Amino acid sequence: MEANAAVDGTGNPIPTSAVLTASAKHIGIRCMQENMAFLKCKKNDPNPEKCLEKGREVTRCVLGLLKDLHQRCPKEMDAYVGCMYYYTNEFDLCRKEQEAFEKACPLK
Amino acid sequence: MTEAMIRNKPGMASVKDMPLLQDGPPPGGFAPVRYARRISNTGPSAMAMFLAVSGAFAWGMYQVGQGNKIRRALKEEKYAARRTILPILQAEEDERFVSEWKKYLEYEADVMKDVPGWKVGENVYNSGRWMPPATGELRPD
Repeated sequence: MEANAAVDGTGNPIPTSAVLTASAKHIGIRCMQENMAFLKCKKNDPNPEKCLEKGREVTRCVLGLLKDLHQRCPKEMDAYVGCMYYYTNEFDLCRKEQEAFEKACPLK
Repeated sequence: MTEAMIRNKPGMASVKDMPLLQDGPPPGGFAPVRYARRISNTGPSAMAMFLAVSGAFAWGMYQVGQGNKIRRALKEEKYAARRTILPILQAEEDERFVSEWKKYLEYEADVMKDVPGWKVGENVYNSGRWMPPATGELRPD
């Protein structure tokens, strides 16, 4: 499997750095509650064993969101992820693919 | 001897009477050459030059400020993306760490099972806060 693939063999999205930075804006809007809850828990107690449940919620939200994004606009997401992989997560060098991606899967 | 033979004048009494052979000016002399200063007083005044230079400076500094604004927006975009994906990365690392930690505690219980009065795991510090293990054995390499 090449390193810039967004999904593995069964269609599950792989959370590589390129995929995560490509969908960072969507994650920031759609998974904000889970992220905040996890960070608050961590601030209270940095012990990883205490925040496992909230961490699992975060993982579930983000992986579900990635799969949803990939199902709704696979070509644009693959193009954006490929561009992010090529330019090592530089937003300014991938504006065209970013616009196409956000037009196909709008941030709401 | 040879000069006398070149510049010979018939009827010369001695070498001192040879005709002159010199490089000299053309007849009538050379044309006159101007060597006086002529620095004109025209052109921009001091105030005009000062205003032009400070105007260029001010416009340049304004452009620097605009460019900094754009660069700051780009950096903010990058940091916001990093802040957003931090929880999922930390959550995945927590899962991995907890499974490794459990395996380590079992190993410790196995090694220290014959030592009387040894409480397995969690005998690190007395402050009550959780500290990550300091040995570096559980690093995710």
